[in-house]
Amino acid sequence: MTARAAQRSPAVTRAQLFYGLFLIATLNGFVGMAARSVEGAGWAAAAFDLFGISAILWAALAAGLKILGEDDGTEPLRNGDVAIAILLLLAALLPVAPASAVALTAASLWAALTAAPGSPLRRAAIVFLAMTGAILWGRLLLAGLSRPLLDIDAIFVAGTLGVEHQGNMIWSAGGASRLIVAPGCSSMQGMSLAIVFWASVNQLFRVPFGWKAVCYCLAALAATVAINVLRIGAMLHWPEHQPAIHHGWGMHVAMWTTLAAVVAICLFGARREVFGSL
Amino acid sequence: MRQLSAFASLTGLSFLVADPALAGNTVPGPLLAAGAPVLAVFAAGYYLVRRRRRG
Repeated sequence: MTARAAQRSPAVTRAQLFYGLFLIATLNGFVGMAARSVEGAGWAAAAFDLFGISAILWAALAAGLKILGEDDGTEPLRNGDVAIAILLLLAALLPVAPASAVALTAASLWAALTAAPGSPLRRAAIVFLAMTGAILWGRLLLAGLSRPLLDIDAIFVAGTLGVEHQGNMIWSAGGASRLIVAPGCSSMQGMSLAIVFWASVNQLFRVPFGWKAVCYCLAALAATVAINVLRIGAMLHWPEHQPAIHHGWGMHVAMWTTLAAVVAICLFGARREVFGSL
Repeated sequence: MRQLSAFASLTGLSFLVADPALAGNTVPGPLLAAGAPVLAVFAAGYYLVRRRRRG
């Protein structure tokens, strides 16, 4: 190999390093949720349930790695990459899953800020950064600011149905039944996953970032909130069907409707890049 | 305490919960795109898009 060829193809490229780092940190970040899923449902049921991890996150992981695979493999490591790698591997050794999610945030931020605009490394880093929102930061935000966030859901439901609410508690018309919006029923969880899907589609198919793209993201978020508000409203309106709507068929209807809306909005926003000349 | 419990159950940091009555509480609720069938739909959709783009 000539000196020039060796310079063109470094032993380990940035894309290769971050491919490994992103994979390790993401799978480690999943471990906490997966362990709870296996503990609660057993291996077979947990596997069918994707270990309690949304299919959007698994698809985003695949999309991020696919984008990194597009790299031409010529960019050598830069100062700071090794420090980030050591930090991430140390976090992976800790028996606390969120540590890996924090390290993934640091690694994806570093990669997004230092990679060339439009490069596979920057595009993949954006996908993984969005994933940390769903794995850790969205949950932390909900835990830390649960009161105002749950109140917002209650305000939307009360406003839609024209009923009274106090904090995250809503009363049906006439006050016959009441409902408390719990963190698990917050729109926040779905919103963070909608952002991951939007980021994955836009980066995988190289959709230019701009106001138009942001508007489609906001539309996907609005659809997520609207369907969740309708679901909570239905529980209040038909209290006799509350268990079915909360964790029975109603939950599946809400989940698939939200998913269809988010996928449709994101794909419509990226239709030129995804489908070509549609 | 409730706030701490919610934080712990959401992040997996169960050792933060001091009150045994609240320990181990998980937050039930629907998860967007839960289950293997959704992943299968995604895979099929991506395959169709790639086929269309190549064809």
